[in-house]
Amino acid sequence: MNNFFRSSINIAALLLLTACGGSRENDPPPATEDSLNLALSEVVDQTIIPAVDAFYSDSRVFDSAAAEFCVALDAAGLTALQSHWRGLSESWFRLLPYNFGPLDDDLIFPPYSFIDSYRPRGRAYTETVREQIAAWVSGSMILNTAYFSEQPFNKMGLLAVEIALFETIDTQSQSRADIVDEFQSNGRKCETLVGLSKQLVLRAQSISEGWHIVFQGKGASYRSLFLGNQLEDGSESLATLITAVQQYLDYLSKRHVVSASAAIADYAWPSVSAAVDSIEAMLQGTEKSSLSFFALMKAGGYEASVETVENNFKMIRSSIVFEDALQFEVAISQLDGSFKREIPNGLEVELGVNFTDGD
Amino acid sequence: MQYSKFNSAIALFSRRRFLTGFSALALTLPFSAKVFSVQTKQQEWWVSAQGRDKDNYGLAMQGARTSSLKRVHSSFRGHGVIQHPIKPNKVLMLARRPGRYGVEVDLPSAAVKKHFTCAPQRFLQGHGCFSKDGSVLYTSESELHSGKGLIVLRDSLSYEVLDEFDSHGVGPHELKLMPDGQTLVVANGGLHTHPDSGRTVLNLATMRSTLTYLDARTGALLEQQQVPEAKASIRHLDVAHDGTVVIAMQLQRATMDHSNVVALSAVHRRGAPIRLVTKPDAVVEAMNDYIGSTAVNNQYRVAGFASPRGNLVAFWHIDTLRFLGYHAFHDACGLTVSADATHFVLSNSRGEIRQLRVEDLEEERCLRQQASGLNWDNHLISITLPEMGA
Repeated sequence: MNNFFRSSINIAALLLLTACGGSRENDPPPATEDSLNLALSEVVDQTIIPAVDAFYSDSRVFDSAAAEFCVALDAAGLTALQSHWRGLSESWFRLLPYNFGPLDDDLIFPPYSFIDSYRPRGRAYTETVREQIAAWVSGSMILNTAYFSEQPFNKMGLLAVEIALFETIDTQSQSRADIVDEFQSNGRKCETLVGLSKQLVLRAQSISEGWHIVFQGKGASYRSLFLGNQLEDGSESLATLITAVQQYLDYLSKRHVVSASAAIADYAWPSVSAAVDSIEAMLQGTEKSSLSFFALMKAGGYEASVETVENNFKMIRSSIVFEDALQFEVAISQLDGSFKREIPNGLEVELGVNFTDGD
Repeated sequence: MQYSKFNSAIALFSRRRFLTGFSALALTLPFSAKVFSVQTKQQEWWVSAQGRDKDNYGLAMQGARTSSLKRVHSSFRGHGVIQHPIKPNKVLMLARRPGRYGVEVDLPSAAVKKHFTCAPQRFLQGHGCFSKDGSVLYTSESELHSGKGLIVLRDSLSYEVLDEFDSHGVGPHELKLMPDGQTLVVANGGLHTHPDSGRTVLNLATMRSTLTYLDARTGALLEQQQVPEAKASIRHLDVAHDGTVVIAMQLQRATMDHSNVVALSAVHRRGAPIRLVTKPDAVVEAMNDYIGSTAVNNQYRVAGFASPRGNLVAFWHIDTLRFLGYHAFHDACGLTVSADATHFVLSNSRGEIRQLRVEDLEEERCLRQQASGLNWDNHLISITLPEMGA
């Protein structure tokens, strides 16, 4: 009972202070449940779902380009297709920080792992994929959609397409002429490329349908469940978002992503830069936003926390410009820490007792 | 035979008193329990430490089939809770490491009836268990400076210290009495902490965790086992009726030089090597290097392992080690078996309780409960009491 009175007094005092403070017309509203819900819905509709849509769209663009390349089989087509792969890699990195819901709806076979085999445990399956592509190209199995849908995660996804597209099988030559020659001399390499590409499209489509139409047969889209705070595991949607991004940052710093991911295409830095753009937009809003998490934190008196996080981003940007992997991982670790402290505190969200401080 | 550091006279006195208690209470306990059970209608409760801050730390009990909820405040964050075998309407809640207090709570009146403080230069590790006759309380404790692990024996009525044993390791955490009633099994976590530095681990480079069996009367070391991964800390355990011990571990990943998936749970039988639960990889990995509690259902030979950092509880058969399934549940850590053994009961830090049928591990959603304003802590137990008002 004493605690109840104490809480009531605190709430009353807070209301009084708010009233005495003298609000201005353009001030963002304080972090009430309604304002948090509004900010969250804008994050979903202006950052996460556009990332879902872009990845699906870019996968289809890549798939069409792959089909066109396999008809013409020339250097110009390869150059265009490699450029589409880079775009697809950026799209993926914009989406991967939000690794929950349709991206991660199966504990044993999580969909994200079939797109990005490095993400589950930071293991580069480059040699496995190289051997498998060589076997597909030299083998006699029928390389159709049904066949590729049965393949394990570590032989699929962006890495497999990257290897098929950016180097030759025998000598790992990255010369476009050599790569085109190889495609021209063995039609099964194109069948492999197209088969891998179609699986990427199907994965992206499934993620898109989960967010937009229906999730796991529950009669509602994941967007609807997420914004309705009706997640199956009982977690709060905002906590799910913050935890997912924090875990992604942990992955970026500990798994040396800038040196291990997209290495053959030499496209790690632009890819991680896209991820950082996405996370920053999630916090500070986009040009369409009416309310952002940063604005709510400032309105709640957490200006210093926002400044800390903004400084984290500045350091990350600097490391990306100079392609300094060590500084990048240090800066990402600091942002990771902000997602454990400043941001949940500033938004007054509970990540869980045991989660933060278990025994 | 292992003796405590106490001088032999005190040790002999303590041991004699301890053994006397054994025989006296062995005579009285069955009679008391019988009277207790036939006179009253029974009601099941879920009991756990709870709270997020000093203002509301305490213990709470939620009616298993009712909305009844009782709360007891304490000045410290609790961890393990055990039912008093002689006074079954009372439970003992022990402070979370590095803590100094234990409180005896009367459940019908929701009041603290007794408390004790551990000795100077010692701290509690959060768990305890009672002797077979209920006369002795064993608590896992550590010496403040050396980190040496101790099993401290207390009179279960007065909580006076009777004796102490070497735990034969550092950082003893959960301990239980084996079905033979004469053996203690202790999870020596291997982690040395000091209250001055909070929960910071001081010996990560040299940590050594063991599963240790001790003679409950003398403290003699009977058997000790280790897992292959040196940075895996054995912290929680449960014991099946046939003596099979299931263990739950936490990994000190920051100090490891590889990123491989490492087993977080295992099964052990006396005299045999530890059998690690390694499959499926994806499930072990999803537990994020951390299991916070474990419980065995004897009827189905199924063990549950709760991973709050993985937001899931996963289940394996304890004989075949076959993976049986998992339940996604945010920040889930409390885990016990219902009194009728038909359900696993899960709790989380948002005050939620869910029940899964053991036979198929499906959740019965209609049995969901949520205690507003409560934050269930790591461990949950099931207690059956005479029916009482809310």
